[in-house]
Amino acid sequence: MRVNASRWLIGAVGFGFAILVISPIGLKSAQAPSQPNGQATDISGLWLVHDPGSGDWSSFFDNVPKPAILPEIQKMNDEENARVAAGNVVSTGGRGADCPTGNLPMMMASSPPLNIVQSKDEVLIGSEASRGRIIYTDGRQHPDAAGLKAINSGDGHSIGHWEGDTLVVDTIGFPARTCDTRWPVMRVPGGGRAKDTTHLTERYKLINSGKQLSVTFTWEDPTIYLKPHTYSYTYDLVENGLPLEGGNDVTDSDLLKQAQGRGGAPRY
Amino acid sequence: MDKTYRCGLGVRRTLGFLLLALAAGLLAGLSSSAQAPQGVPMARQAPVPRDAAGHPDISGYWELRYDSRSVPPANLTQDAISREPAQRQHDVLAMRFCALVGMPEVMEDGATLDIRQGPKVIGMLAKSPSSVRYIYTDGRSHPAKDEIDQVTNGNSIGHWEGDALMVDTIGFSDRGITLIPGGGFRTPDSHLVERFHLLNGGAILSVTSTWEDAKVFTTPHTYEFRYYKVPQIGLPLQYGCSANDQDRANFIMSAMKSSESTQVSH
Repeated sequence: MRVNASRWLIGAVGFGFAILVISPIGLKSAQAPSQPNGQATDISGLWLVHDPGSGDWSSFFDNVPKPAILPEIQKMNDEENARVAAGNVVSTGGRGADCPTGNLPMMMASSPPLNIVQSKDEVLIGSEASRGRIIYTDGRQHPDAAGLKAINSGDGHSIGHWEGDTLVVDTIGFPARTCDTRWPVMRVPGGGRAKDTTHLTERYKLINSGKQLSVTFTWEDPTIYLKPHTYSYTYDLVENGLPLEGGNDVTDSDLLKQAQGRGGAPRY
Repeated sequence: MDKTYRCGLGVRRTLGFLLLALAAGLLAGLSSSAQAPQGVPMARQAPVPRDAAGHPDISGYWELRYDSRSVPPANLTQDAISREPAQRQHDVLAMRFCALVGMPEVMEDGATLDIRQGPKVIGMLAKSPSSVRYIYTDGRSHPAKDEIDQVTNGNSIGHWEGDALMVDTIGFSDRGITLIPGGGFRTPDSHLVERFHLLNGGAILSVTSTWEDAKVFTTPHTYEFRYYKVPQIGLPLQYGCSANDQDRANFIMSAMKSSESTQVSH
């Protein structure tokens, strides 16, 4: 009896192929996950805003192209600046539980570095000693008006998607007012403002071989701006850096005195 | 038998071999899938979600429920036992003044925990006043002890051992809420080892925590939490904590006015 080698060979190859494709190993390979959002770009890292040498915080905050704003907004800016220049540098508004937490424009401009964690469904931007903001990249839409009001956060509600190697982020839902009596409406670099009618578009892109992160901000609000207000910051990657926390110099006895109304110890 | 007939018969035999091979392979694959851990239904052995590197992906919203905690009592030193009342008072003050809560409270404040896993770092976001907790998986070591800046969450580095994420944390500050489940409290000398492991196809996240601190524990103190994965939350609400709220302050401080055995939390 002649053995048909070619048929047995075909059968053996088919058997092996079937095992590979259908076995758990094959299934696992077939289900191998892609990069977060299918992106090769990863903006995770500790990023320090690059100050070209503005001098002080206020100078840096205003060192962007000046926005074209409505005359009444300019008048409010001038009045608030005059009050601060006259010495009213402390907010007397208190901090109740209904005060919005967070301040996106200030956070993104501040010297404490941003700690970015990019995952599949969210990009987390942690600010030093604070909770930070979340950019949802899971395809969700913004909440309705009631939902936006309930957020009550100076970080607003952010959703993002990738356009090539650029993360485009859309944010709305800023609070109508803050509890800060110096600036009752959130200030935006250059002299703009952000409130419940404001829309922000950000574009995040790695540059300089991934050593820097460029972020372009475009603010739009017809009740504030005559035309979109755009500026950019560059952040430098801090390799092996770690975020810090404040409040480590407060003692329990200080706090107990304050709690018992016996002293004015610094708070956390 | 003519040549045409012989050719047709050969093709059918070859096809037969291939179909037999396919069927055998299908059976082999199904058999492997069916070999689930004993006692666990096949339906719950869905593959866990994985990241681009093939590691289990622990990203998601996680919550503790009434049956989530397995916590034995800790074996404390005499010094720790005598210090515990003052430490409870410390924690009450931290809560009263909206301090950043830190570890272990960020992992068990009772609200949804948002965990996000990137290729080099994992971020954890709690609703209580807290810093984001970062676990660095980029291969870095802890900073030298004399260079470390102490923070409430400590300095955490992690690596994968198979499908388990092993996390090592030092560099804690003594601020925030320091009491540890089962007894004892966090200090700058504390060392924490955690094991994160997905169960039930990724529906449950098991976190086993082992605290070591020679001044607090006579033996390492280990407990386990199991978090349940919940669907995406509707809104990114965070707690608004006000140290100026006198009603809130009175409510919290009342715990300090009662006997020393008053439980602060947990």
